[in-house]
Formats: sequence, C-alpha cells, structure tokens
Amino acid sequence: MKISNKDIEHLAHLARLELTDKETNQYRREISGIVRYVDHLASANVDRQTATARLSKIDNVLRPDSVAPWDNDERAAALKQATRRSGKYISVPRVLE
Amino acid sequence: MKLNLLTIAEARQRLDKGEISSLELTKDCLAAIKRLNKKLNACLAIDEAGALKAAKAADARLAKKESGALLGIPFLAKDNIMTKGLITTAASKMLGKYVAPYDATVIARLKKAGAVLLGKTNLDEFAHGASTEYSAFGPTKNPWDLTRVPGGSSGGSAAAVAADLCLFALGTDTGGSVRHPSALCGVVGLKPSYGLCSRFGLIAMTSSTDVPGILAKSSEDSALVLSEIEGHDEHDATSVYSKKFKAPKTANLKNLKIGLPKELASAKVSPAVRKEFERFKAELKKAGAKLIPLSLPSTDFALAAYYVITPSEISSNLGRFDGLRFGNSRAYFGAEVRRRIMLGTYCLSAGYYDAYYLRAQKVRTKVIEEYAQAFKRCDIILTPTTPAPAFKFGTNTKDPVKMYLEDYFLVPASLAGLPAISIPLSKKPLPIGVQLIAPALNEEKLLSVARACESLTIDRFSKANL
Repeated sequence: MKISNKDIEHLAHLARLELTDKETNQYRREISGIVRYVDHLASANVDRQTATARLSKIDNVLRPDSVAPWDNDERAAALKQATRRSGKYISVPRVLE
Repeated sequence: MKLNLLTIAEARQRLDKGEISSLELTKDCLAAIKRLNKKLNACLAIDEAGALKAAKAADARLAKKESGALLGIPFLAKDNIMTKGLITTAASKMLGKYVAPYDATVIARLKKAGAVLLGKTNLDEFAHGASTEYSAFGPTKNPWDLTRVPGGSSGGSAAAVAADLCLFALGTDTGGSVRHPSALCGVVGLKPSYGLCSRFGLIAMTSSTDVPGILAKSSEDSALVLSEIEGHDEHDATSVYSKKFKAPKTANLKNLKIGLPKELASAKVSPAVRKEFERFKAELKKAGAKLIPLSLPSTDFALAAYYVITPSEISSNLGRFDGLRFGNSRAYFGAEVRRRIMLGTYCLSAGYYDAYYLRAQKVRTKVIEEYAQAFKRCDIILTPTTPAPAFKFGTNTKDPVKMYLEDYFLVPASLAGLPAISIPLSKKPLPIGVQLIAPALNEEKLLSVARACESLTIDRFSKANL
C-alpha cells in the first residue's frame, strides 16, 4: 500500500497535528518505511486465531458506585494545570454550535 | 568509600546496624549527581530539599528500630512516573511545566516504605524510543562511553544506576524500555509480569503492555524493590491479585531446564554479543543446567505486531493532550511522538483495521500460546537482551525501523505479559546483557535463577570510569 502526501495530511488532520510541507514529505517517507516493515504481518498464519486485546484474566472489576472524596490540595493542584478555568471547572472552547 | 556505591543489600545491613545513616547515604548520592549529571544528563530534576527531609524521617524510623527492605534507601524515578509536587515532564515540551498533583501508586508505596526520592530521570519523549535521543531535553550519555547512547527509553535511570547516582531507579517497560538500557549500561533491569505492579500514575503509552520496572545493581536488589511495589491496587483495574511476592534465594542451576529459541540462530546479532552469549551457554552447561532447544515461530512477527499495537494505543492515549486540561498545544509534540500518533491513526483507520490492528492482535495471541507451550518444556527462556552493545549517537535516528529492531528480543515478553530480566554478562569494553524470561507471575523463579546466573558473569563488580 503506497502512502501519499495527501494520506499524511489526512492522518495529521485526524490526529490534530499541524505539519509543514517539509514534515509531510519526511513523514511520508518514514511512515511508508514502517508500514513496509509491518506489512509482513500479512504472511503470518493467524486466520484461525482469536485476537488478544488485554492480558489480565479479569472479566469484571466491580465496586460500589459511591463518591470517593479527593484530597483538596491534590484537586486544586490538578485544576491548576488547566489552560483556562472558570471557578472549579476547566474552560474549553465550544465544539458544537 | 562513598556510600552511593553500595548495593541496597549492603546499605541495608549497615543502616540496620547503625553504622551509617540514610542522611549520609542520601548526601553521597546527591553529591554524585552534582558531580556527574552535567556529563551524563541522566537526571531532569533533583529534589534536594525533599530528599534530605525524607532521609531524616527514615533515620527517625530507623532509630525506633523499625525495619524494612527499603527504609532509608535513595532512588530516582523515570520522569513519566507521577511524583506529587514535582515537575513530571515525560521528557516532552508538551509537559515542560507540568507538576504532578499526586503520586503514582509505585511512588506512594516506596515513600511509605521509607525509600528516599532524589529526583527524576531522563527518557525518550513519552518513552517512545530505544536511545533517549528523542528526549526534548537532550540525550543521556552512556557512562561507559560518553559518545554512545545509554539505550532506552529508561536511559536516564540506567545511566544513573550504572554511575551510582542512586541505589536503584524506577523505569517503565512497554516493549523493552527497562531491559534495553539496562543491558547497554551494565545494570540489572526487571520487567515484572503485566498487572503485578500498578500502572496508576504512569503516563500511559501502550496500556496493554505498559509496566513499571526496576533498574538496580543486582538481582537481589531488584527483588527487594519488587517486594515493596508489587500487589493489587484498586486504582488500576488491570492489576492482578496474586500471592505476596517474597524475595527468593539463589536457584540451583543443576538440572535447571533453560530454553533456547532456535530462531535466535538466524537473528541479526553482533559478533561481540554472539561470543558472550555462547560463552554464557557453555558456563550454564558446566554448572549442570540443561539447555533445551525450542521453537517460537512467531518471533519474527512479534516485532511487527508490536509496532502496530503500540502506535495504535499511543494515538488513542495521547489524545488526552489537547492543551486544555494540562500541558501545551499539540504543536509541542516531538518528531517520534508525532510519527507514532500518525502511524497508529493509520493502523486504526477504516479499511486498514483488519489488515493491521486486528491481525497484530491475532499474532499476539499466537505469541502467548507459543510461550505457554515452551514453558511446558523448560523453566526459563534465555535470549540476548539487545542485538549489539551501545551504539553511537545518531546511528539509528535517521531510520525509525532500525531503532525499532533494537527491541527484537524484548517485545515477545511484553506482548505476552511475561516477567523478564536483563543481567550484565560482561561490561568491558562495553556492557552486554542477557535476558531471562519466566512464566507469567513467576517472578520468584525468575529472580532466583537470575541470582544464580549472576555468579557466571564477568566484570560483575566493574564500574564505569567517570
């Protein structure tokens, strides 16, 4: 599968990354190289295998649905890391009009 | 003798007898950091005031005859592990000013055990790499040769332990990031089973293979640290309930069955590594161990599967860095991070998902099954840790695939969640490591065999000349 500059621009858009033209060219070359390497997965004989997404042999981890208070200082320190705040909330740009 | 040169086990004895204090031990570590960090760039942050305070508190507990494996022992932590009140950057400009609001579970447990946090160590940005050359704050240098990489991504932790800046260091291992730099710097690197140690407070990379790991001066020391950080954590739903780990005695190598994957014969390995590995095999035989040839046919596909699964999980995990809740805008990501995010986005996109992500997960199942079968025939599996000793700066940065091949021997244990350790086989002229892999949650066997193997290695007590 050949990857074009347009593909890279599309991937960058999906991933919310901004690339210069020079970077687009560079990533096309590099990502094409990596994809060529991982393409040999196609020759693995795994048609009858199931897929493994996680390793822990735990099915459900249940706990009571109760509010656990968070240390006040830690909460304040966490909120302090936000770019914009409105009181005890993090302020974000409007996504839907 | 400077106290920072001690192992944990040695320091433990002297602390318990009252011959030395944690404050003296901590001050010697801080002095070593001040003397050597400009040369090595192993540490990104030093918390001198916090360390001295913690050391005094440990001394007060020791004075009350309290005991504990790590009480009063100074350590460093990789900078992708949350440390309350300290800057935690993941070696990224994205988090250049990020102050962790809470401690990772492994840090909280170490603090409770009385271990003394000295500061934070360098890594490849967000732990993406095998050389620390992708750190946004400059690479770490290998203490054995300052023109060479320390390996990665926990390169700062490995260099710090090799240069005796601390008694042990924490790292994280996703596809080799503790074992790889340990081999290149001549220290012991333990990757515990997936789920044995909590991931809570680790800055996520690949959630299905990430584990906190231990870089230490001996297998015995690794076991002491593991005994304090392992165990179920309610904050990590993937952490397992297992029986309490106990630091094991040295195994008897006589009749121990050591599996050797036959795929190694065709793997690209440097002559220096090949020679040391063969010498070690001969030593094992002499000690009475039985070398069992094994077949792990998916070895060759494992790395490809890993480099599909990892970027896929990265593209999702790094979505949280939106510049709103913490950190800077996405323009602050470095080149390798962006490469992995886009590669993951590609592998997960409609039309490619089945060919890449789903197929990689099937290969993963096959790797798990092959290792489970192999362990029916042997106690431990043995491989080199890395294909070659430490490389020069810039060797692999132009070709991402070349850098990825550094993890060739390391990713299968990560994909299968198995415990694995790298111990130094020899250290001169450059360190070379060997990897031991054990069945899942069998750290006791792994560490008891590692201790036995250490007695067969050479230059074991040699130090880098700094």
